[in-house]
Amino acid sequence: MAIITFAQVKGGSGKTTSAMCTVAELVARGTSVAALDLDPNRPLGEFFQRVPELQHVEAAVPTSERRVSALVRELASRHDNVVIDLMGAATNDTQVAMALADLVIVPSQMSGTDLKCGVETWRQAVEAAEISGRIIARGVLLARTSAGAVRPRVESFLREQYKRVGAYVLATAFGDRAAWKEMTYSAHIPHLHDRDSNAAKNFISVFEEMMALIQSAATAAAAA
Amino acid sequence: MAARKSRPQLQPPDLTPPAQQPSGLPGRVAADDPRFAAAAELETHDAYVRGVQEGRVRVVNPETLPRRGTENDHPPPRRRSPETSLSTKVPESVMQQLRRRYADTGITIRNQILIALRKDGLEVDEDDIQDERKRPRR
Repeated sequence: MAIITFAQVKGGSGKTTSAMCTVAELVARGTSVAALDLDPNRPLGEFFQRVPELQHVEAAVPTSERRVSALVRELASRHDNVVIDLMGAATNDTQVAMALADLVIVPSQMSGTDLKCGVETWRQAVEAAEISGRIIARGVLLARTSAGAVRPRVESFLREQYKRVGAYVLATAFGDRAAWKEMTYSAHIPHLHDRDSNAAKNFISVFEEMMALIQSAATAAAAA
Repeated sequence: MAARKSRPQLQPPDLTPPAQQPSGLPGRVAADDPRFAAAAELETHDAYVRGVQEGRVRVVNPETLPRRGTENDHPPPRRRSPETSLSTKVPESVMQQLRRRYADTGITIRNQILIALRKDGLEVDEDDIQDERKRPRR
């Protein structure tokens, strides 16, 4: 079982797109997955309903009677994987969702605000691991980067800045492609419907790196 | 030359007003992983107030805002010293920010000022940073 939390205290960084793609990849691999949507705009449930292969995926939402930890415990008892998408702000849910996770992914675009908020989110994840007394895998996912072969100067700069504060940045970046922007309208998910496409290969690489992070953390926890 | 791949059609999204969310999900086996207990500790009202005071929480999700007086919270503290009234004038812009922060976080203006003063070195007891109006009646 893996609980994967997408967190960034800045909105518009790519959390929801990454969460949607992760759910789709877990479905493509035949595993059981549910989602918890903590974004009050409720993008996940609506998206799942538009994609026939994802219509069975449960997109849970909190209620005043049901706390996040209880809801996730319930989902985790019925599904192999739970994907949590947080609101794009520093909310009362941020550290709760992090403390529940096996993996925290911090999507970050290239702007200075993304970097600043990404570092804050990273530090909250470090603290959540300390509070919960667990090893929580975590990584920064650079999003909407150039999909071309040449890495732009700002991406290298950003990697350096994250490294400077001890944050691990995934080697694979989530490239800026029309396919991701069109996904919520076309219901066409590259890695679900056209796994040979470049967009699909890009996300599959991101996903495999995420799984490797979970595996490393599990190995470290077993050795501790 | 290879034929150009056709791109998927764009479909208009459903823009009708959202229906009410169904209440909750069916309960099943409770996992006993300690992470759930640790996360629940972060969902108490005390943890929320600490998060606001320490700057980790700047926006409230009203759907998950912890209510005061849940079983995980400590009993309501007693104020250490009697209160006296204070009336003063501040720039309108400051007042607006205090009101906005109250709307965002639910922390009263009185408590925002006390928290700021404590950060500046004044001795303000935690038990004195309470809002009588919201304290449950005994």
